[in-house]
Amino acid sequence: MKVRDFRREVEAELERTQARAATERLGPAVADAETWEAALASLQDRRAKPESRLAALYTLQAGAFDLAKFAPFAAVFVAALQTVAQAVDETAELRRAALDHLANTGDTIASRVLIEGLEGTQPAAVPPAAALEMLARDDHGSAVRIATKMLDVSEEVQVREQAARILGSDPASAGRLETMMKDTGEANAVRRASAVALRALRPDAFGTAAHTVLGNEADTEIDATVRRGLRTSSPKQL
Amino acid sequence: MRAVIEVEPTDRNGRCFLTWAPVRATLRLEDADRTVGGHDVTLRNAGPAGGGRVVFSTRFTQSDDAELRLQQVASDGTPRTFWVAGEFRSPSTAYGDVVIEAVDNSNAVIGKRDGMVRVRKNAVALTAAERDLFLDALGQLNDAGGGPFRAFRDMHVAASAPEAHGAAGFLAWHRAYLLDLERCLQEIEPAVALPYWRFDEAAPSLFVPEFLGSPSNSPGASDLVVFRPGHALEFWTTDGVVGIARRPRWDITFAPTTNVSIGGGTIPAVLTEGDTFELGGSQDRYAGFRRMEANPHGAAHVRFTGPVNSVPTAARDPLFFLLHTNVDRLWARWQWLNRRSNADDPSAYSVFGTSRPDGGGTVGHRLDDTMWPWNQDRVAPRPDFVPPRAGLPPSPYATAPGTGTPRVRDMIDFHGLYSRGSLGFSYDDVPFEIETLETEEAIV
Repeated sequence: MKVRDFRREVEAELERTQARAATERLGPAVADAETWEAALASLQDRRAKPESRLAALYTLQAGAFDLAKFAPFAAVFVAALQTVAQAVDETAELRRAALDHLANTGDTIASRVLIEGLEGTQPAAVPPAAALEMLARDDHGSAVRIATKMLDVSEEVQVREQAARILGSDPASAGRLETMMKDTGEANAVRRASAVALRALRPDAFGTAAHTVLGNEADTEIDATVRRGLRTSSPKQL
Repeated sequence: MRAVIEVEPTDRNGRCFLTWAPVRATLRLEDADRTVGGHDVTLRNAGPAGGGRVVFSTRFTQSDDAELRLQQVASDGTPRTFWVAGEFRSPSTAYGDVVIEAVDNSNAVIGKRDGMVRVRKNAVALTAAERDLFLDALGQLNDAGGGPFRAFRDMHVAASAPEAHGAAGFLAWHRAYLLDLERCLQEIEPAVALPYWRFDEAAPSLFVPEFLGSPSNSPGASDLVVFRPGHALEFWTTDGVVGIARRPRWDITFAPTTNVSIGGGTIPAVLTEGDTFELGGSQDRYAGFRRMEANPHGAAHVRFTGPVNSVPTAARDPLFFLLHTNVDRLWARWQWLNRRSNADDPSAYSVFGTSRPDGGGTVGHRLDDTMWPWNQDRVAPRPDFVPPRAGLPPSPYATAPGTGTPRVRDMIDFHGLYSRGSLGFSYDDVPFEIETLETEEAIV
């Protein structure tokens, strides 16, 4: 295609879309301090509609990507999220969104809320599999302790799958992961998660267990996962 | 008589990878009849239908010519120079689907050269083979958390955030970051180019178990994405965390550009491409355009749950790199549309000169600043830990930036319009186009 023709095409298309956007746009194209102030007020306003508060949370999250300009709002934003995360009467969606953001930063209040929910000392803010996943993003110590306990008591596949992944950061759990990976009584998802975790934790132990699995089970989901694990290898230093 | 076609540059296996930017090539004759001084030779495309195609020129410029007649090529073997580039809108899908053929006056084939027009493509347009090649390379780079990807993860953390965010150098830093990653992927698999997620369009085929994964919709599920068994990213591990948590916050069968209500007003969720270009204002200046860091960039990040929605953790998720490739594509396309590739053009960038060491937030963001970590600087306000990467690695496919310590300015003229040295990447919808006649004449 001729570049000159392409330029004409693109310019015409942009003129059309920009003209359309100009007539449809009702707010500022890029959020600014005024928008963030309004968003903070909305997020903190428990009488506001949940969907508006959620939109406000997203706007503030996006603003946080503009580090310098957002800096004056950052602490208030985190405090607002902590308030939402701890309030058991907030909507589940808003609470989960607040915990999701806080979990990325290793927030101790979020960790406490998640742990209390998992241990049953407070009403859970999110389902246990989700709580384990969020907790594991930063607080490995607590996550491993609780995941080990959950594996002892929970039969729920999603919980066991998530717990198995968490053990991938715990050297003491290699044996347990190997057992779960080979256990035909476990759900496929749990066995695959165990294989993935063991590969991350102890590639040598994974290799040995993998050959046992491949010898016994062909053309299964665990077979495909294990084969991939054996194929993945570290390139030279790049 | 044989014709030998050599294209610069090639990799260690002699393979040639092209973008839309022309590269120098030569043709020379062997065993030619020396009783005459020269022979006419025609260069043309001879690859399979649907494969990549190239265009030719006798000088460094954009061309539409799929054939080039070289008159009186010396019979004594003296090489004749020409320029070759990928034909815009005709990229390859695999190595070898480009074939340059040389024919003599009787139309007999006297030489061939294979290659590939390798450009960054919209992820939803990749063939299954292209997609899997990319995923395989990325999976190998990560190697279940033990591979070189760790350095890329460690480059994009809280302590290094001011190097790359919140100021003018946001786009340049991420361009270098992507280039560094892409060059590593190409060391593993040379046919790979980074794909992009066009976040202002629907892309349902991206968020599926075969590509970037998809979380379970079961009420009790976490946001962990599920891959098909044996997927290349199934073993993805960073920061001691096995797996990737990410759930779209919108119906992925639509573009995430629906407006959301807030505080009685309305803001667009993710700016469309047209609106993003409008940020440059009536004068199309970089100072305005770079506000895209907040939206669409930030807005696209927060369309998901999980680490990808926060600066210090976003690079844990492979999606990060497809998102940022689109951010970079938007910059490249804005540059092309508005002819903003000359680093010395005051509209092409916004803060000039070099930062003073105590320059606070501007260190690393001025036009002539070098960028961390490639410059290995550990003096405040740079991060005080050992830089996760050494210099930017050279590429066998590109001559620029020509240094392992890139400056902000080295990232601006990505097609080498002014410097004549391309960074070695193109986008499927951003052509190579000389900006001014003076430029073209100056670099012939």
